[in-house]
Amino acid sequence: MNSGSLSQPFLLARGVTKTYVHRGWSHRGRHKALDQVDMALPFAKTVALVGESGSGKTTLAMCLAGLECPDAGEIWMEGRDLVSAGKRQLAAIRPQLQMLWQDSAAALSPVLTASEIVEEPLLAQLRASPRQRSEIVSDLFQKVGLRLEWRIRYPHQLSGGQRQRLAIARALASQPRLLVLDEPFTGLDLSVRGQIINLLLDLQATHALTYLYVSHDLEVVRYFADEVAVMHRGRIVEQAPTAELFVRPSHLYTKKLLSAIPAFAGIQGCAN
Amino acid sequence: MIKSVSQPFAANVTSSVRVAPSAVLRVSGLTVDLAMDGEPEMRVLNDVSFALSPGEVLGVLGESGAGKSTLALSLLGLLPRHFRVSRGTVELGARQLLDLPETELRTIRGAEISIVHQDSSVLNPVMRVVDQVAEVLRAHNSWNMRVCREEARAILDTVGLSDGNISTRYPHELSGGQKQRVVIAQALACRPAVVIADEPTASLDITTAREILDLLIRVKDTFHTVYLLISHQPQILAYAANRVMVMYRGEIVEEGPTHGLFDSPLHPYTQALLLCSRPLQSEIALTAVKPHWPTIPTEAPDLRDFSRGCVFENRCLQRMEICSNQKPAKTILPGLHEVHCFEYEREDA
Repeated sequence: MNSGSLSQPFLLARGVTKTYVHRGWSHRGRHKALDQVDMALPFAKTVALVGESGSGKTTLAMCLAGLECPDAGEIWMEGRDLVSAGKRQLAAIRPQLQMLWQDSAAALSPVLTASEIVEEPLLAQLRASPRQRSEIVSDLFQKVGLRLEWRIRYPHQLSGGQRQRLAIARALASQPRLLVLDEPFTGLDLSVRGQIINLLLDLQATHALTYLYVSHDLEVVRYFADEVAVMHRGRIVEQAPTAELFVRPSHLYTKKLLSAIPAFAGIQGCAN
Repeated sequence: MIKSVSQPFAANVTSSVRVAPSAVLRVSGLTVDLAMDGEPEMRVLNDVSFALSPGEVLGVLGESGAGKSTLALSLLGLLPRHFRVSRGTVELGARQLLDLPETELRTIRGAEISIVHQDSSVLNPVMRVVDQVAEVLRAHNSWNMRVCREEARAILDTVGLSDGNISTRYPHELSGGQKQRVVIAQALACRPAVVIADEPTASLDITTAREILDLLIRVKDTFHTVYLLISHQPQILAYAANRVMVMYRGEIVEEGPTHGLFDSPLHPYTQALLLCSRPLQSEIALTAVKPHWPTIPTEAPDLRDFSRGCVFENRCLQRMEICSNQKPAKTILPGLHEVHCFEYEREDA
């Protein structure tokens, strides 16, 4: 399933299965969101997870970020299995797995200022004096390109691009090794989207971050990801290096997915 | 060939709009201000002028804060509290919409000018969809409910919801694309002269989005309507619009026929925006180091920062000295391509 990893896997999932059971008053049923998923995330590289809505992308992302517990399977990260890990062990690992959400406005606390948002993970994970923490926060602000005078602003006082930068700063505060990016560019203006894409690429290079990028946007996937994993009905049907997958898709579903890219004939050549 | 016209003001605006006098909708010098309590006034729309000719789809391209939605709402007389139209006119046929009292506006809204919102959550969750379309017909006609329902069913047919019992379902039983079709049916029900489509495909995936655009184009002539199609995605407008105007910070910076505008954008903002929409394919090489995705440096200025000069001045790479002191006038280039930029005025001199 995992053809041609670019380097040593940072994270390895084997046979990950997750079933949701509905016990509602109107109907009962079981929904297999993940069905025996095998996946490898190469170290300091980006794997894009694509597929239609309902294919299980987000469930898999949540499992790999340690936010959802699979029913069966193993998720190995540097010799430790997240699935069988105890609560305390998991608590130590979790800071290294951070998420970046599509809707930064909803993901950031509306009642904390920008600097408090970035400082919060430090309070939980570090024994540091207020002054040290404030230095770390300033450093993070500078890394993600936020102006220091914005420390006292609340999320609603920032633009979409600035909020996404703030969310990145908060994620970096935990010194993560893996960032799960769930459509982080979708709500952004076109002129700002590139800034965030470039920032994440720069941070990956300087911090050796491993990315799992969940997306619908195949144009960005083609540019941003080193490998692409295609999900269909809870399974990964194909995983291959980006260039290879876009040029020679092997699975039927991948071909179908890729054929939808020039959905708007007419813009072809317009931007070029 | 290049001709520059003076800064349009209420008096000479009509003369500078060179569309056939039979325009369905004509907006001249529309200026909208937002005054929150205790805060300085912000100019949300500044001197917006355009005309919609019969059979046309006019696209509005802009990022957030460009004033696209404010434009849509001001045409319908639905601006929220604190917003004020401080100048300009909106002519629908022979009537001045902005002067009309609310009672009269209500008879026009939905019947002669209507809106398709981006989010189909405008639908009533506890009402069958056929009734929701019938309700619009009922509000503007003297028919009884049975006739309205029949007509509503016919309209749902036209928008592709002919499947057996689909009209008797509730919104939550429909897919996103189907719900958007219901919203379109509502907007078209009274055969309005103008339909404003405010990001009608924003919440849909790309395949469904194309179906919805195909539908809008297909029913345009059946219903003898014109569209003002608002979007932040260039490819949507390239696909569906005849003409596109590009807005930035409440002003129109460029306007032209779709192909002319997308093939050879003139304004530095349009050029930069189209570059950002997707990187050059040739640049995505298979090398280890990726080239940066194109961006426009910094961010758009705050609406509170009044600029005497060009709105794009602080991010523009072709910036000249004059740009920060004076607003560029409209320059009309061959092919009815208009641009507000000193770069092109200079060529004229």
